[in-house]
Amino acid sequence: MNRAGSYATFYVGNLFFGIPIAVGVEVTMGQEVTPVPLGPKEVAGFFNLRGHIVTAIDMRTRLNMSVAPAGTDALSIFFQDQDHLFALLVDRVGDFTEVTEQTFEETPSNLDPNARELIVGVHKLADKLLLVLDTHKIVSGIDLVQS
Amino acid sequence: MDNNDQILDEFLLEAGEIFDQLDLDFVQLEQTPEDKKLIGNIFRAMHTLKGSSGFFAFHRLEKVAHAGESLLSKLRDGVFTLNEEMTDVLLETSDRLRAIVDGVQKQRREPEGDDSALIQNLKFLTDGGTGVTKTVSAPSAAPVSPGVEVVIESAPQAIAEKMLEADIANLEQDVLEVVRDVAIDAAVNEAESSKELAAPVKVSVELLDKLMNLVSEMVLARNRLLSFARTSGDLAFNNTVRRIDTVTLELQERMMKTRMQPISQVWSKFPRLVRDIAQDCGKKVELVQIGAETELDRTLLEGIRDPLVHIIRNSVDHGIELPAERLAKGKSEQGTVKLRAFHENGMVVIEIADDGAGIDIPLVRQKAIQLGLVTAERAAKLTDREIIDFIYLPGFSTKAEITNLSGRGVGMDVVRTNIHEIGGTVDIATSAQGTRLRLSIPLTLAIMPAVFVRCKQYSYAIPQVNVIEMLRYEPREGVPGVEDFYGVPVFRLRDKLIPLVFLNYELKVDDVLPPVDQTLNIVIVQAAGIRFGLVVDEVLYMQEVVVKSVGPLLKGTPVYSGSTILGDGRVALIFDINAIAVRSGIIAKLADNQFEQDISAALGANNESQQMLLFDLLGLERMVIPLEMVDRLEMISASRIDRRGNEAVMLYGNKIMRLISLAHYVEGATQKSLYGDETVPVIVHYHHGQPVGFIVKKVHNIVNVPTQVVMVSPPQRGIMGSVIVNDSVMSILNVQDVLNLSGLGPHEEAGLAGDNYIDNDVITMDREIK
Repeated sequence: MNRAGSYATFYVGNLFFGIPIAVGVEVTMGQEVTPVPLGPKEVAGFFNLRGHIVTAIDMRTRLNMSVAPAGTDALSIFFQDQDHLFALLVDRVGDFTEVTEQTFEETPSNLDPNARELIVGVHKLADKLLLVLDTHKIVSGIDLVQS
Repeated sequence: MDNNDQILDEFLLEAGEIFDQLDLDFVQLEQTPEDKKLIGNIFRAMHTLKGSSGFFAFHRLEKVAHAGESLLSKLRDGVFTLNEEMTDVLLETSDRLRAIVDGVQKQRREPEGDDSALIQNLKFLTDGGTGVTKTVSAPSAAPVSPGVEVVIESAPQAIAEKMLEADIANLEQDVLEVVRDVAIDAAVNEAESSKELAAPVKVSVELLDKLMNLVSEMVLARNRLLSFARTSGDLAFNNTVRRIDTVTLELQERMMKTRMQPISQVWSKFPRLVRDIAQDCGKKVELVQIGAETELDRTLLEGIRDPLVHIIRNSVDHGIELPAERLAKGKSEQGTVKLRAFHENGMVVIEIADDGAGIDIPLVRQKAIQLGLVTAERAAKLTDREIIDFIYLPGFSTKAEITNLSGRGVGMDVVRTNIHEIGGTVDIATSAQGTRLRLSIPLTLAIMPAVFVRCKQYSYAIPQVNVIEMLRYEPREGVPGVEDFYGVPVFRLRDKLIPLVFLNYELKVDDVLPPVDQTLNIVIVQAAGIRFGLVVDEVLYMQEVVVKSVGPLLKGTPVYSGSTILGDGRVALIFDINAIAVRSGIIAKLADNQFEQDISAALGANNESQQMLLFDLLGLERMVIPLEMVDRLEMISASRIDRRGNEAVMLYGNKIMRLISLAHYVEGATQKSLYGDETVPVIVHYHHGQPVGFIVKKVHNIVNVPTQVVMVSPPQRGIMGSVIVNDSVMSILNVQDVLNLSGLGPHEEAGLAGDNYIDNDVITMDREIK
């Protein structure tokens, strides 16, 4: 994954994440998610984006974080992975951010192992750290056989 | 290069179509060897192949096609009549050509190989019995032809001079092309011209799929638009929406059509298949195809190809007997395999029937016991149908084949699995006169009818193909509700025990099973070979749904087979009923406990019960009438009742129904006249095909009544006896008595049929009274 470039950024809890906009990003809100009983716990459910079925992944669950406080309206960041559309349900969406190679650094080792596996590295921005996510790993790392 | 590749792809596609047609034509030709038009078609096909291969410099293809064409030209010109030897060699030619083309497809160039033996054979047949001179003098379309023919015949003789031969062939081809084309055009002029008119366009499958997706999106957008229009008062807007609605509907229908292809696409390979298998096993088999034009979704056609090949192979190989055996049985020497396709209830039904020996049920039974699938005592109790079910078990088939069981078992599990995968069902009927397999396949996978149910606040879809019926159970006294059978909740439905699966509990959206004494909404479904009831919160509606994939993350969650988008834009999941049955564990539990769906056996012989309808008369409550005597229940307004003499009658459908006030004929009931605006319940009973209506006070429900009847002594008019149900006494209506008393008795009826009918009636009664 190219370390420099444009990122779509968002917050989950107090962490600031970015995914490269090259994977095809779009942001929406207020989607009515149909839950999937018996499905993997990270899968929040499905919704419809202009006739396409989108699998919504709850990022708090995926990152092993506590459940969002009640009343938090989840926002969705879309991307495509192997012909299927996914959406990350996140707490807050940030700006599109342009970064350069210079600010990049490998993943800090003190991160939660569950989160570290998904993170390619960090960009040290002026005011905070931008954690760069590997979208494919977000999807492929989910344990499918759960009940 | 790209351009060339594209041309090559087109050639390969065309060649594939040609081969399919060739197979069909050859087999047809064997039956009608004189058919000039058919030979013309085959000849033309070979010719086209040869021409195209010349363009790509596929020399093997060209030579084989050329040799085949030479023989065909003799046939076409009537020099020879087709015999079996020729058919074999020609079929071999066709196979060889196909093999070469397959090689081209894989390697993008012509594969190496030696065809000299085949070409020799063809040449031998071409020359067989007749001299070269004679061929030359054969009637031909153009005067130049004889000369060219000589060149063709002489050129291959110089096998050593390969280079020369190729040159001559090339040289000759240009001339020949023109000559032959003239002849061909003349021979198959009408076919040619009609083809030109149709001028089909080849469109890639991806494009069609993309279009289909767009159309289904449009359907959804239309649905939302319609809901806006309903609340809008703007006439112009509403008219526009209506216009969009009709156009979308038509667009959807037309789009679906593009996915539909006639089943003959798959069937076209079968005449050849049947011929080959029959020849291998020394049998005579005719393949009859009915309804080859029946259309099916393209993806489904692929799905049924293998199962059909399997079934047909079974039919010919195992089902149909050897000619001598058939004659001994009084059947005609030639066996028949009949393929039939037709539409039924929104499904495509494909029947494969043979007139062979049928499935040897005792042998299957024996085998099942031998394999430990069932105990001997239980096997003896199983119906033939249940015995046949064993052949679907994986592994059963192969073992059976070793013992030379009359086939059928071979790969039937695969057949059933494949058919289930595309949402279809398999059904077998067999007798000594033959076996019939019936496959029911949905028209399309992309759109299917589904029943929507609610669990908690979400809707789910159940494929309609799985749904048998839907019912609402309300707990009532005297009717057993949900019972326990070795830990499986079961429910009685018309004397059958139906295991229940509580969907909320199964999906883990509810932690506990609901109490058994509440109203239940049950969808009776059939899957994985068993029938069970899904208990849902609510049955919503039926709708055609556009099936969409659920994506990669539900691979470990097999209870969903897909998803669909609802009219309001939300997503609903579609259940895989098979997976639910497996997941719930009822299959395993039922198998462990030798579950019998037929309750009558479970209840034991001396504890039989019978279903009766409970009703009241004025002054005499808790009367029952055997359910088989009740044909309908009606609520009738007294104003509709007319008088005919001193009888009360009314128009019922297109018949006149005699109305009998039961209170009049049953001792202990109070009579009462009806007022003009009163509505009364009427039990309709058909007596010798004529409706008779019994007016009662109130109709309750169906009760299970023991067959042990307490006789009433002294006998009372209109009452046959009493039964005790849950500590209360019920009186059984004596229908025959009432009919006799009201003047509808046996004396009025003439004719044997009528007497028989009554006799039977009496016998039934006797049995019950005993």
